[in-house]
Amino acid sequence: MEAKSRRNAVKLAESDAGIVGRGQPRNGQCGHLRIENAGKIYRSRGAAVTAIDGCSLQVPPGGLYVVVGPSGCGKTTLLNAIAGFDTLTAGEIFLDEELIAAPGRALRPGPDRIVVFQQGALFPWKTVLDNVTCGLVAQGRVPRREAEARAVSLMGRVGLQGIERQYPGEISSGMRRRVEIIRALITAPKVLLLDEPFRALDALTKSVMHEYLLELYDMERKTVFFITHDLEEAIFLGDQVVVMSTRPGRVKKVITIDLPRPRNHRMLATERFLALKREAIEAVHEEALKAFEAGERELA
Amino acid sequence: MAELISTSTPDLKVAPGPERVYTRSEIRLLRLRRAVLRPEPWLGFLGLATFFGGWHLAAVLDVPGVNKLESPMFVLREFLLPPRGTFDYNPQLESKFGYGVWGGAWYTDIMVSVWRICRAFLLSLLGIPLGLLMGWRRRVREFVFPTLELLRPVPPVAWVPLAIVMLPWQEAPVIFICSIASFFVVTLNTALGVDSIDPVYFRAARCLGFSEAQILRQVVIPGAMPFIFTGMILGLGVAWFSLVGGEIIAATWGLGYRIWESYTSTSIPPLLIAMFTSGLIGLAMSLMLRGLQRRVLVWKRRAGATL
Amino acid sequence: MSAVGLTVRSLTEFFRSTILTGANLRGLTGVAVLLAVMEVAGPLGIPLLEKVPRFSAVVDRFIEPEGLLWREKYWMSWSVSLMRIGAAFVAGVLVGVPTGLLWGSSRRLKALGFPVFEMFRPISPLAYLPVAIILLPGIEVSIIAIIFLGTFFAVVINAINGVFQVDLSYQRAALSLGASRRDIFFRIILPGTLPSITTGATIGMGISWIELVAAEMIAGRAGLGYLTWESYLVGDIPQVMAGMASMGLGGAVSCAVIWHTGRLLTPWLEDYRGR
Repeated sequence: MEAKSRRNAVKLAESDAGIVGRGQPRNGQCGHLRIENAGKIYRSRGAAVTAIDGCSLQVPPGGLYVVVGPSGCGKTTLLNAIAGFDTLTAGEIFLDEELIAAPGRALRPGPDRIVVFQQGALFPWKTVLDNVTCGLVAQGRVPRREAEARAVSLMGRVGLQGIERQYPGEISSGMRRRVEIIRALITAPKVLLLDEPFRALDALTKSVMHEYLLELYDMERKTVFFITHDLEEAIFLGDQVVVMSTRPGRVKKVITIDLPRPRNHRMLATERFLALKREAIEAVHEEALKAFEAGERELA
Repeated sequence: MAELISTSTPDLKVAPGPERVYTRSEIRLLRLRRAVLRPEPWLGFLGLATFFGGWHLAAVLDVPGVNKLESPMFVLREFLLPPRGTFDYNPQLESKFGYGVWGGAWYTDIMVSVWRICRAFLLSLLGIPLGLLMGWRRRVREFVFPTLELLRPVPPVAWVPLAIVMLPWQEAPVIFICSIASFFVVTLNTALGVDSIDPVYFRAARCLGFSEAQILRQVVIPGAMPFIFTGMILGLGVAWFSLVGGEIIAATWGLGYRIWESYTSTSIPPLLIAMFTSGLIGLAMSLMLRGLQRRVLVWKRRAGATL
Repeated sequence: MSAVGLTVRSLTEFFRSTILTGANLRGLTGVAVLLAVMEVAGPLGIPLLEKVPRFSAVVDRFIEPEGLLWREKYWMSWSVSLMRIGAAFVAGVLVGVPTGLLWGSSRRLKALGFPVFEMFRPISPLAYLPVAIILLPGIEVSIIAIIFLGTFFAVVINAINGVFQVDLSYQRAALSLGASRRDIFFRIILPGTLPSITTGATIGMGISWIELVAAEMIAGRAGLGYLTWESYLVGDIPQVMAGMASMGLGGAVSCAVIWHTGRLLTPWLEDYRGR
């Protein structure tokens, strides 16, 4: 018992570096994501649909990487493959040089790559505090009291104090998103996967949430893999923006965003931002048109 | 800037001090007052009064059929007055059949029926683990569901002869049919409850590193809880209804038994008293379960659902 | 590949994919296990279950020379039961639907009648049997009356719930298009409550069947319930089970008929999750 708790304490000290400290990425802590020639073909009733084909990406450790594209371009498929919810039919995905996805490999979603979901996945039957701490407690890394103390302090630091005893059904949708992001971050994953997390929010809440996410990102540079259909969101948040083509999904264009950090909403009107946006719009709009027409044809 | 904001504003009609905070009893009083002032409760009373008044009138006027059914006043007196012999056999002050608050039989019937339903209901809760398994693991559902669907349509009372043959103990047939009736409802609703859990919660749980046992305890069971309660409330209702039939056919003592026995011995007031008692107790048990539901499903209530 | 070859291949493919699926096979295995246990429990002497008649004995009761399938009495029982249920169920729906819709739409009318309704609802319909026999002429009518009660309660509750669930936006849209109150009732509320009414009718049919059987076992002189009870009294347990199977079949088929009728009446609903 003694040895185990000592071992746990050492593990805690190592893994706990993240949220409590500030600034630079630590090696081995933030994930290097490498996607090689990923492909996914869905078969249903004999028809084969190629969702993604020959996608190759390199996400540097500690980078905020955004994939943007119209609905149906395969970005969710890619995220599901990284997270371990879906298999690939071709290609491989490496996290810190460790193979995490390949055709025929068993699915193994895990806490090293946590997803923040589009429609929100806070457990409605747990209080906010329970939601935030459940990952740490379930993995047995931290005793419950310690986890709760950490959660309370973290929530206090990001402006979520006072709602610990409430249920997700009682708080606003913006708060729910923030709590879900905190829940993901507190377990110190290697990669944070965000599946269009702000899609359901209204535009004003969304812009506040962007600054909130960047504030969290600046506190600790984790690798973030963010997918969205909103171009402005992508350029405002990301270090690199990848435009995906629509069915089959391929990497169409990679744009490096050289806006300085920390970013704020005033940058949305600067020349540089507009220039970047111009660069991206051409690529995205073409794909959006293709997706729209493809959808129309399916219905017709 | 400071001049624009004045601390003393005698012209403004603003109520001084903080907002009024109402205590719980004050709120109850206000609600009661509001309820009494609306027309609905009075219409309700009117409806009830019309019904009982009409019944009483029909009995007094000797309407054929109803005259064999005693008047409500008579039944009430039977229920409340002490048994024969207490007041020197004065029929005005005594209950003719002795079935009511003073007689032991009424209490015994209630206790016997309630004890039977308790045992039957607890037995039927075995459907919860089965339903959880069926909802969670598709293989289990594929094996079990057709068999359940084959047995479910058989009416509970139809199991009585078989139960009498199979289970040689005194109370067993009645308890068996009540638990069977409830079991199917509980199982199916529980399975439906697990089904109703959005798959995204399972994904989130796996991402957070939950083991399978933890998923069962922290996602499956709480997620299915609303449906589990629905199943239990419906199951208890079905079991209570089946109890009447079961007691008529295969039991002694108990409210259902009393109803039939009173009919065959043409003692009408006990019949009616037993009927209404049965309804009342069924209602009380249902309300208790609903109260428990409100306690357990706090999260749903706080999110705005009406329970 | 000849045309015949292609047809054969597609037929076997169809057979394999829809009938011989893993799920269906597993289900059949479950049922087979149940029937196998029934069959061997007697000879093997498994406690409790050994008294259950063998599956083969029950099947025999149906198909043997003097079996149920050939006897007029059996089919007469079916027709009597079905007629009782039919009359009672239809009456229950015809009275219950308007009552429920009315109470759902008008708060005053609901306040008038609902307390009396709720006073009687928790009492099992079967408990009304003696009262019904006293008040009504004849046992037949009494049995139909209590089945009617069961259906009536279920349909009214679901109809009230249905009115409650019709989205207020539809009524407002209709009002803004110039609809009268009568229009709103017949063309918005009524179709909108059809799904709930169907649910209520299906539940009511289920309850009806249960009450019918119980009433027949207790006080009937004909019908499937009476047949089963009679078999018990003479000690013919395999025939009791044959009766149970028949009653189960009747209940399942009648509920399915109601449910599918309801589905036909509401073609705009696309998914039917749960019944």
